[in-house]
Amino acid sequence: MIPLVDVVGLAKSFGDLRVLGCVSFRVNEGEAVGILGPSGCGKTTLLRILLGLESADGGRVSTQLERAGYLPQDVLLFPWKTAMENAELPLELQGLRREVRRGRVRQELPRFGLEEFADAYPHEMSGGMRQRLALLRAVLTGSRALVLDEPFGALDTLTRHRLQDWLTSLLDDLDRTLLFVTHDLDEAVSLSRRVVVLSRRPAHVVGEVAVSLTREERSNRLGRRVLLARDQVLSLLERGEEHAGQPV
Amino acid sequence: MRPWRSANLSRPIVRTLPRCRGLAGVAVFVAAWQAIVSGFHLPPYLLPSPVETARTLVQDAGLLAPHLAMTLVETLAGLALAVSVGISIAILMSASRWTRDLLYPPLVLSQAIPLMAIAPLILIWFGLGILAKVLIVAFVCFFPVAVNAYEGFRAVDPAYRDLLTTLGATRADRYRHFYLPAALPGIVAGLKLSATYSVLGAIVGEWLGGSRGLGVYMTRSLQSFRTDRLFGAILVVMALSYGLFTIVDLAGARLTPWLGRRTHA
Repeated sequence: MIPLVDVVGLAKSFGDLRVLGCVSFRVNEGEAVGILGPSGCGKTTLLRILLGLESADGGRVSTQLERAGYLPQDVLLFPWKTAMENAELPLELQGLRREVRRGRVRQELPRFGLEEFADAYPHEMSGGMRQRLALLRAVLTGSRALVLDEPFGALDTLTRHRLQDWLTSLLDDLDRTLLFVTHDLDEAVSLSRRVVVLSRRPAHVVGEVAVSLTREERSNRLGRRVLLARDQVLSLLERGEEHAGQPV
Repeated sequence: MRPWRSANLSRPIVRTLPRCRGLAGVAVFVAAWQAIVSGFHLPPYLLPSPVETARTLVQDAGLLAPHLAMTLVETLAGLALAVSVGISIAILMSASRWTRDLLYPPLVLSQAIPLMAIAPLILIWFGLGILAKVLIVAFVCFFPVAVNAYEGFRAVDPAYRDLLTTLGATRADRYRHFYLPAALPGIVAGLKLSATYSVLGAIVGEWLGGSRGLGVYMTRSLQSFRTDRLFGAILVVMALSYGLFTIVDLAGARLTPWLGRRTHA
């Protein structure tokens, strides 16, 4: 397996505040990895370092995520651009001609449930549609990896579940590596093949859980195997609380 | 038909009501003016009535037209120059802390120079022709545009800059796709202020020297005690300022559709 991300002993502080203690993990090409940790443990900082937006204070980071398809926590759609213009931005920055990039976007819009909203502005769309549009923009970067920061955290439970199921099937079609951070245990189990659990701040990796579930099993959130995976991850989270600040 | 659009705000009555209120305000002003003139039996050379002023305006329309055209040309050229200079200064100031520290104090200090002191100097340096007037208008108008654009650039969410970095955007891309559109509402607000000041700048320049323009027409009217002509010119200046303000406001609403429809007249 080729590692897309290889992090060893990563540390980061902001002044006196130690955010990342000693974080080590690896993401191989084609994997779907969720990084789960309590709120404020430094998950977004970790992603920013991996994306090259922040420098680390210590440790070794080897990534190929500089041009990854990135979905930020607040989706960050440009309010002055229509859905079409938002989606085509990565292609425009790559220098593609207008008709080529518009053709590409039009081809993808139905898969993202946005075919009727190409000319709509973000404020005219629902929260779920905005998430799908931001994800479309990330997919259209053409990168082998998608990096998502708390992908559906701001949505209501039903919409979140619907989008998680939709994203799972989309990822099966797209054949991309997925790396995301979340504080939502259900989201971590539902979207990833492997969950990396972080402790409280200063964060370190408490452990990892492999989640081998079929698409149907994932969508049944009260299924036996889902609950089993959930319990395993939960017990790691609790261990992280007990041993905060020191690698387990 | 776009299914997500709500059509409520485009109903004619909603659009017409603010205009009716605006006209009512003007009507009250004109009525009060007429009442003062009639009530105090004021002679026309002291304060002409609105009716007399309107009659003079109609009679002198042919005489007034070339002066109005000159003032309009000076104003529009000066405004265009002010927008270019103002936005360029804002971009330079937002580029780094170093350029901000270098440019911001002189920018603010420039506004402490009295217009009545700098305007004659500009006329001495650049002559009595149109160039000097354009420069005076630009001097009056560039500051609101520069400050509002700069504040617009400063107020942006830095997370967007990071997102554009992950998309491989250059500095020019960042300005085109993000900083300029984000600052556009501020730039339009500054331009609205500038539009109202701009006519004043042109009038001051013409008042101090020149052969054509509403300022020249006003000085000649004053020197010949034609107060009715002076009032007529004042009304034209007011209408010109208001017209420019309204055009900028409407253009701003068209340029910023994501902000929703505004209710200005």
